[in-house]
Amino acid sequence: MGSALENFVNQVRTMSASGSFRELADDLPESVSLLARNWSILDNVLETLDVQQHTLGVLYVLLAKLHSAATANPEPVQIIQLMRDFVHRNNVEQLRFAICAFYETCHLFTDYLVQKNLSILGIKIMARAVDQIRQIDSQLTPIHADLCLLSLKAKNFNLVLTYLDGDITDISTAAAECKTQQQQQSQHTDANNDAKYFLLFYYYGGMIYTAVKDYDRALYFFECASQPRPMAMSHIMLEAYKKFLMVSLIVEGNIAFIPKNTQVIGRFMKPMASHYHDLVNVYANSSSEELRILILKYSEAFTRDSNMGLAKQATTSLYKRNIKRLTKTFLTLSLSDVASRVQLSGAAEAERYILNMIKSGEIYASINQKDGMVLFKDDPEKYNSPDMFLNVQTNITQVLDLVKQINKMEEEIILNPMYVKKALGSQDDDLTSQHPKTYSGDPTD
Amino acid sequence: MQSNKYNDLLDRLENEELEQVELGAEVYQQLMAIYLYQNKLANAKLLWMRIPDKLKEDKELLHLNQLNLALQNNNFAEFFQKIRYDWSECVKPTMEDLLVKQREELFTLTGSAYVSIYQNNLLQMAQMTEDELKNAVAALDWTREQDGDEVIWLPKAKETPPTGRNDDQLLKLTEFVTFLEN
Amino acid sequence: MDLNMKPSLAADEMFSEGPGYMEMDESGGATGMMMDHLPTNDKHVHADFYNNFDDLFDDDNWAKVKQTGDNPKQ
Repeated sequence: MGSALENFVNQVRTMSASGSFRELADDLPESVSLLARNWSILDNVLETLDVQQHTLGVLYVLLAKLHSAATANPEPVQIIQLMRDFVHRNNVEQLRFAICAFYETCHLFTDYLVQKNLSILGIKIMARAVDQIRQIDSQLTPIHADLCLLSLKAKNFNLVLTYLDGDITDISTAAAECKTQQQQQSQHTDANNDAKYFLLFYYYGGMIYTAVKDYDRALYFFECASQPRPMAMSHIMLEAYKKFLMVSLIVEGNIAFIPKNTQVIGRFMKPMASHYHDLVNVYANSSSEELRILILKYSEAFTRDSNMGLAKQATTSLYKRNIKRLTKTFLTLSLSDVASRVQLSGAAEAERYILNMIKSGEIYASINQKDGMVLFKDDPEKYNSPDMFLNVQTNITQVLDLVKQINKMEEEIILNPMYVKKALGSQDDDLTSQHPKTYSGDPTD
Repeated sequence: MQSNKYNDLLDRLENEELEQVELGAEVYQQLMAIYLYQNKLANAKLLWMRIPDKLKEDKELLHLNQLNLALQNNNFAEFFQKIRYDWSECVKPTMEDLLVKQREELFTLTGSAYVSIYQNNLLQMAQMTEDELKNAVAALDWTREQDGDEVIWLPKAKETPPTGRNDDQLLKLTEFVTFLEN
Repeated sequence: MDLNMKPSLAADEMFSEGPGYMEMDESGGATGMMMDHLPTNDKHVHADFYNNFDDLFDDDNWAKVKQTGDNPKQ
């Protein structure tokens, strides 16, 4: 081991032993290039350090290993094992002094696994990393996006959904973490990325919900990823916007609301998503035939965006929506009439659609094969069953919990010194020295 | 029959999938069987998409996926045809449960969705012999009619279960009203 | 109120730049700052984000799709 590396090890051991973690965390970023240059002997360095006692030192060695992975070409199994070991055995109190380096390590690890087609093995590791570093369960961190990406590549969503299902009330960003750690502008910090990882979380999350067909939730996630009002046009927002339009058609049959950032949408996104706007417009005409022709025409673009599946789902949803519309005007119709009115191939296909829709509870009807008719019925729900009561009760509980949560957040805001200062219109600068670590809620409230 | 019957096994299998590289076909077979039984069709589709290409040549997995496709497409005939297969021990009990469940599903659905249905169509959907079908619908009290040469069945409308009330429900409502008033 | 709307406020506020907006960056607040760091003269950002996935939403052709993503066996 070279003397420079020996110095590194000694520094880590001495400063960790004396508990000077902040100083160590401030010094370590300078060692990254040294470590990365010596990629061939980093395993020797690791042998001299203990994950629990020297969490910061091991973290930086891992970071250097991942930085040099392209040159060093390590065994993937070894890297995975090191990361797994690290997230299970590190000392979180120490880790908190170098949150940005930890985020960066996680991002690089994720990229590495995606590249090696081993994403599935990173899911539990990244979930564990999120558990470690988030301060409350409803806090969003930049590495949530990594967990989503790995899950998407692996097409495995069992674990990630437990992270997506909860509401987010708080956000941890590299920019904020690094300021509190006085590592601003350090080489490992890229504050630009905070917006990127925020948007990616909602974009990938929306894709995950779409894949498991939880469309309401998907729509909400795509909305979050295409709604912000930035100074610039983000490609993540653009792709989220395209999927937002598609899922909106599938769920609502139209575009339920115009996103608020009309300027960016009008100037940048609309022209770049023109095919999608055409689709929305044709869909509004309710002609399945026209829709089919349009999708065929734009199939190359939709396929390129991996949105062909969504386009096909939109087609199916239009057939169903048109059938549903018939139930509003007719009491009874022949199956071949249904077919011609909604442009299906014939009575048999119409019957198949209707049966599926009855099965999924989208319509209430009975088919009479004897005379080839279908009888449309009203929703038989009388709101007098125990099941419905349970349903209402669950909703009430949710609303009451939400009220509690809002009250709690409001209280936090009212007690926030920054808010007090703003609300009082005070010029007192002393208050700006306050350092609330995180901030929740709507400041305009 | 509860659909959470296989939950413990499912947890173990899903966990295994997240931790090991070289999984054999058996884990995927069992996962697929349980997803189908629990009617988690989105999961079943994704599972097939992520099964390594090599294992997609596994005969039993291929066969399981034909069931998957039939269920995704709501194709009863195809389903009841494909489920007749000499399943290996690791999925056999699940397949038997799935068959019972889908039979029940078929008659519940046709019972509520049809005022009348031709016996030939029903036979095709259920992949049953005439005698099997007769027994099945007799238990449901369906009415048989003759329409020319063809037999047509008139399903019996399902009775809605009686509405129950109890003190607990009343208590919850009182709580809510109290909240609204404050 | 729609249950789903709550986090939307948090999301929107993070990017908001309206008159009611509180300047939190001096305080090291976690939210609010992201878009300030985006290069304002550059019209397009995040062009390099990872978006190479199989079509997970195709209900017709999924059974035949060959893996392009994760495939530990290959």
